[in-house]
Amino acid sequence: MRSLVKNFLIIFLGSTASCKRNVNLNYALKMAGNNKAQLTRVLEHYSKPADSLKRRAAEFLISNMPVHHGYYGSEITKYSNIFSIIDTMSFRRGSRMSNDEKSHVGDSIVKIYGYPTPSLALNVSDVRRVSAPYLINNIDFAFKAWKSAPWGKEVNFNDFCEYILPYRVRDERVEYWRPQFYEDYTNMARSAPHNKELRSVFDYMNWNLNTETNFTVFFNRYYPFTQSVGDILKGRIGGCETTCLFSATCMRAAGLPVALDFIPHWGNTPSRHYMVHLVDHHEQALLPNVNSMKNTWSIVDFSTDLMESGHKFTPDEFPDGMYIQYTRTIPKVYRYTYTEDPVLKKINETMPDSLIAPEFRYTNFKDVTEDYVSNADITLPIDTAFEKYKLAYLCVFDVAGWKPVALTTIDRDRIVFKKAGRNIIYLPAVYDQGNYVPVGRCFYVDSLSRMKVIEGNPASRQRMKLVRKTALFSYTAYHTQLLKDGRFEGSDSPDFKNATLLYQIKGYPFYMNEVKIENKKVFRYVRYAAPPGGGWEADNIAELGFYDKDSLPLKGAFIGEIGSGGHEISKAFDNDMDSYYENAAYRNGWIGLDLGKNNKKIVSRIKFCPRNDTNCIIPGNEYELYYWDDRWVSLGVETATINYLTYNDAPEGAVFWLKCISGGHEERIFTYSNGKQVWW
Amino acid sequence: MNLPGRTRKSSYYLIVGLLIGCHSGSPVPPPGRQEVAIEKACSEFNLQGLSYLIACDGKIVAQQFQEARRKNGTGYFRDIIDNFAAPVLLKKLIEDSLIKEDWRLDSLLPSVKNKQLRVKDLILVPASPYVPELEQTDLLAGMIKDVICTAPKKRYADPDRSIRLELGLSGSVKDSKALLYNLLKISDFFDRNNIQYSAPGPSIANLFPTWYTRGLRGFFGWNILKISQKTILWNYFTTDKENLLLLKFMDEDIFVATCYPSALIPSPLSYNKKDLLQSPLAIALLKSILFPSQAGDIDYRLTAGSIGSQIEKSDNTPYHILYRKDLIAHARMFEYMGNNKQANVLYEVYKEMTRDSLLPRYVNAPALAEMNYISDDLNASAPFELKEPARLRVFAGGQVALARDHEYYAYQYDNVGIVLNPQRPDEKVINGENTRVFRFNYRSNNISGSKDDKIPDSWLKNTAIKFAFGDPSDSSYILEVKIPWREVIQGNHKKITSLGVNVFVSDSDLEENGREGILSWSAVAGEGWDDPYKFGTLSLSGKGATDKAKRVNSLRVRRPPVIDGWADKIWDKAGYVPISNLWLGNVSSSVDCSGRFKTVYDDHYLYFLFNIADNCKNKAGIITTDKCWIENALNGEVVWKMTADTASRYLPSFLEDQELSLKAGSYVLRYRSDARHSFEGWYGPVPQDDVYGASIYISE
Repeated sequence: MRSLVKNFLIIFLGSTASCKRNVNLNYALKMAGNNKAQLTRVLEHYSKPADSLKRRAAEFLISNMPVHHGYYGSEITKYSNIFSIIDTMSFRRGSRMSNDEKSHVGDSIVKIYGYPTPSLALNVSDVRRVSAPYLINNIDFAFKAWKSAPWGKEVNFNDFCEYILPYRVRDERVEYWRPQFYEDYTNMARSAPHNKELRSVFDYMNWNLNTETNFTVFFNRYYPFTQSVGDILKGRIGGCETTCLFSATCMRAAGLPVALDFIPHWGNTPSRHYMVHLVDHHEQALLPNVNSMKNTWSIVDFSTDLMESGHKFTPDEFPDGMYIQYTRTIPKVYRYTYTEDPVLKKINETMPDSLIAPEFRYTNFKDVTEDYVSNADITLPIDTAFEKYKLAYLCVFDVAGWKPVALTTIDRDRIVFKKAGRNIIYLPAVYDQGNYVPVGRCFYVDSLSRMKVIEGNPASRQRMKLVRKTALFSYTAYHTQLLKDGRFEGSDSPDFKNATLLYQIKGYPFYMNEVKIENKKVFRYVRYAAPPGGGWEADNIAELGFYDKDSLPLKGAFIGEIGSGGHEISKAFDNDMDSYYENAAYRNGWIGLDLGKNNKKIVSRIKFCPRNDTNCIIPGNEYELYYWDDRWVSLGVETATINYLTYNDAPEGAVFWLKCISGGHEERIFTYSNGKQVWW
Repeated sequence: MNLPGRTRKSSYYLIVGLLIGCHSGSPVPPPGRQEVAIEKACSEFNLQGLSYLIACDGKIVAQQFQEARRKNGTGYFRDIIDNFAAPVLLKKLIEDSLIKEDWRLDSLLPSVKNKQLRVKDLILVPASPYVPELEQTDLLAGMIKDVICTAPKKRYADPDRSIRLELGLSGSVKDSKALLYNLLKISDFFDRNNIQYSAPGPSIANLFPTWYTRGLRGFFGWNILKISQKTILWNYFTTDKENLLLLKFMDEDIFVATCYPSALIPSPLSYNKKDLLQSPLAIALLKSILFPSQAGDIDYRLTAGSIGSQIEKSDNTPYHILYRKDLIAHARMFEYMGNNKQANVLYEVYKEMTRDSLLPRYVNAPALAEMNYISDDLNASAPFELKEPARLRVFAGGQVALARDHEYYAYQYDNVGIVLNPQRPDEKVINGENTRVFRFNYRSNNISGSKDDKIPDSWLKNTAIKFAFGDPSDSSYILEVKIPWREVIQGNHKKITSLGVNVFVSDSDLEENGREGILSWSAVAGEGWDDPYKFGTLSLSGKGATDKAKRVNSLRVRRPPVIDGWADKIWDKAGYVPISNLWLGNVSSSVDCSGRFKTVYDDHYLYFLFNIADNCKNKAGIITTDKCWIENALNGEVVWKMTADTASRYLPSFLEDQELSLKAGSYVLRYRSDARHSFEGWYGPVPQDDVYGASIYISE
């Protein structure tokens, strides 16, 4: 009897699933309009019993197709010309163009047409565009890749459908790429050192495909749309969203089940991030979101900036009040899917757009945070006055405003956010016509899953010494390595034969440094000579200044090793800490001044500054400090006179934001603890 | 002619044409253009007795059959059908795993093993390596049949996936109608089993329209012509009396089979070439399908000026080549018909419009080896033999990139370097800072030099050094140099009797900017190029050529040599010393690279004469992105390499003609194209001349 019930259930559930599939399929065919015949032709093509699996694959693609669309039309055509021009120019000269040169092409197009207007792009649903031969080709070659791959048996049909079969990754233009990519990238897969092991092939391809495009985050201004495969092949430029889309496409063509995952916003730095993920259901270590010198690129690239061969800084090696941030924290991770996420689908079907943040008006991605980071479920009380908003958001800080990284439905007087990354300051909010309205205090969840509410105490004030406006990231700190043991010399000979050592850098010189020189000799030639043998990057220095006995800056003709393009010797003497000299010959560089034939001078002081992020407190710049009290409240404007600021009346326990009014937008929020800024 | 169902056909054409037009961006071929084209060609070329069949998307849209019975037809047409059916069936058998397509196949199929061919070789013919068996139709057909016969009978188990011929393989084919119908069925079968090769439809951009034939010269037993992002598969069979020309326009889904009496017109295989565009019938069909509908036909009976101006209108279109070939076809036709006057008019027009003045002379000459209409990513080869030494004429064209990398990395190209130090190498203390290096890139107007190899080369400016290159043969060059003493030594040079010197010869081969090896006179491998203690001695007082202890004698001359790239008599007084140490990389033989030099001096200058043998003479900054070369088939040594003419107004395309002498022996003409700019699709001006590839003739 039990087995009878079981069988009945199986049949019932199976027929329910089948019924649902049919409903979706019929809906898709209905939505196809005049293109219905094309989609029907695909189904008919796989009508034979021998093709039943391909038929299911075709049904999968078509059933889920209505949610997919691409952008077309004249607005797209105009600006995608940028990639065609880059392509032609690159081939005419026989080598890839530099990022700067590609940007020049973008500038030229923008000069003609102005900047693109995304709203003018034509949104065309796939069901109305995709043809039968296209889909049949896509299915046949996806099967070919899957079935012929040595790891094919490790990939089940569902994963195949979701992560190999789709003809698109995001909302790029639909193009016919798969057959040639099958040829090209199965070859690449075969070149992997262990070409029968899925993980090994993935690692090999992921590494090699990364170099097929030039990385820059600045190209979006010329082309703010998702680049199509054709665009990428021609332009070979873009940010991680472009690189990863391309990599995922290539790997899928070779039969690897890969997904495009994304972090909607880092927890402690600006912008979002995309990565390619191998869907092999192997558990990986979870990121704790704790600052440490542990390389975690194998889990999420860019989640740490750790140079294995780099110096391991100790606290006594950097200036008081600073520490080095190695880790980027991750609040949430999502995965683009071909199928719709049922929760997002329901929200989008039942709630008005005015309550849904733009980031969540798409339905084909799902939450995979638990695959990446240690996380916690967060339950928060909420005033019932907010119930009308129906949806609440978990937001992280960005200089452009709080950014939503998760959403949930409001359950009368409480909200529950599942699987949020720890050690990140969040703000719960509702979405109200483009604005995020706080519905609670800032908080974070610590490594032991304890919720810590952060709330300033206006009654209790503290004195704060501020040395930075954002964290000191390791990639900046590493620049200082190149200056350690660097020498400042004076000489009467242009080749610095028998030079006099004025000063030698002992430690790691962060930001602007000034040393007094006791030597009273006069020199015609003065210079800074990088440590011999060089370091991990070409010799460089941001600022260099020699001062006479009256503390006036010495002036003369620039001498030294030629600088690389845009980083000439003059950049070290321009009083701009952002620009820097870089040795074109890479190693054993030196730069200095020829003071003139009859113009020998005493050097009384030397100022120097390594290449840096200019996020320290720079004398002369104006800053304004804010703290969070359901809004950003100003604590006043200060003009820096030395390399730190002092605020005497700041509320204890609050979240602060130090804005530089004079320029620069790299800023993060911080709390203040034990006399130090703690960055979030 | 009887053309049934034209109205229905026309509307069908219109629909298909619209789709094609939308997809490719080209205008729609008007209805019935193919029939009109065939009719016109029949009339013009006197092709009486021609049968044809045109099908679109597997459906016959036009047909015309001559019912004349043919002697010996059965066996001949069976062979044809075998040729077309067998590869398709074979692919099906492999897909169904009835036979294994891997390296073990040769153990399963002795017949294949004997011929050292794999099934893959029979189906997808790579452009290289060259497999002579694949060029022999009869042998190929036989081998395919052998393979099929070895497979289990199960192969016909799926009736939907086998071909049911009108008159099966065992039946007799008696007339052209049955033959062409059978070929259509085979064509359909091919399409059905290769559905993945279809175009994606008009609304979806096809990033790789000809991907399925990428790098291939043959495809399932068909020859390939790729032009302007379209693939045309073709095949041609002939006996003494009958010709069969088959075309498949893959992107348009059009199949054309024609059958006509022999010998009236040139075939795709005439002149020892494999060139579809030698057939006037093929040209007519290509024009009717690929040309914009408004492109008019040319009346070749008009005057030269009128014909020329009509053809000129097609300049810089991808189909320019078809007009040129059409012109030649008509010139040949007039010649065949005895109308030499009009033939000469057309040949003159051809000559006028051909940039290369020699190419028209070879238009009707049999080629020794030829490969034309090069497509992307091709790696092709064509063997040829010389029974006796011969002077050859090579026409070779491709794409050139004008690189600027020589401004920084001139040393990566062919060059000769002279390194001098005013002190002798045997002195105890030598000031290395006085070492000067002068580098002369082959056929470059600049001298590069630097003291430090860690920084990029810099061009020497305002120097009084003079130099000139000369080319005494295809595979050697001369460099003459005079260097003022003041560039070598501070002060009075008359006080010294010897100085330190070394010379280097850098050699790049197929990759122009990819230095492969360096020969040195004095330093040996592992010794520093600028180490003055490893220099040889240039003696200003010695007699004779040299001694063996890294010493070269420079003779004082009263009358200086003229620096013009030619060794005038004054040089005879000095003796050569060989540059024979392999200092870096690889130099495979003396043909690959070898050199010698001599030196003289006077009160003002130090003179050098270099005589360098180099099979690939590469000019700095000129990189042919398509590589073409001739190899000695026995040892693989490159005996000639294509160089680029950068003065062409059709850049990046170029065409060079060169004469070269080869000894008797076996050779292979090889061509390797890059991923873009070819007959598959141009991104720059379309080359004007006929050759994009290479052809070799016995020199006139």
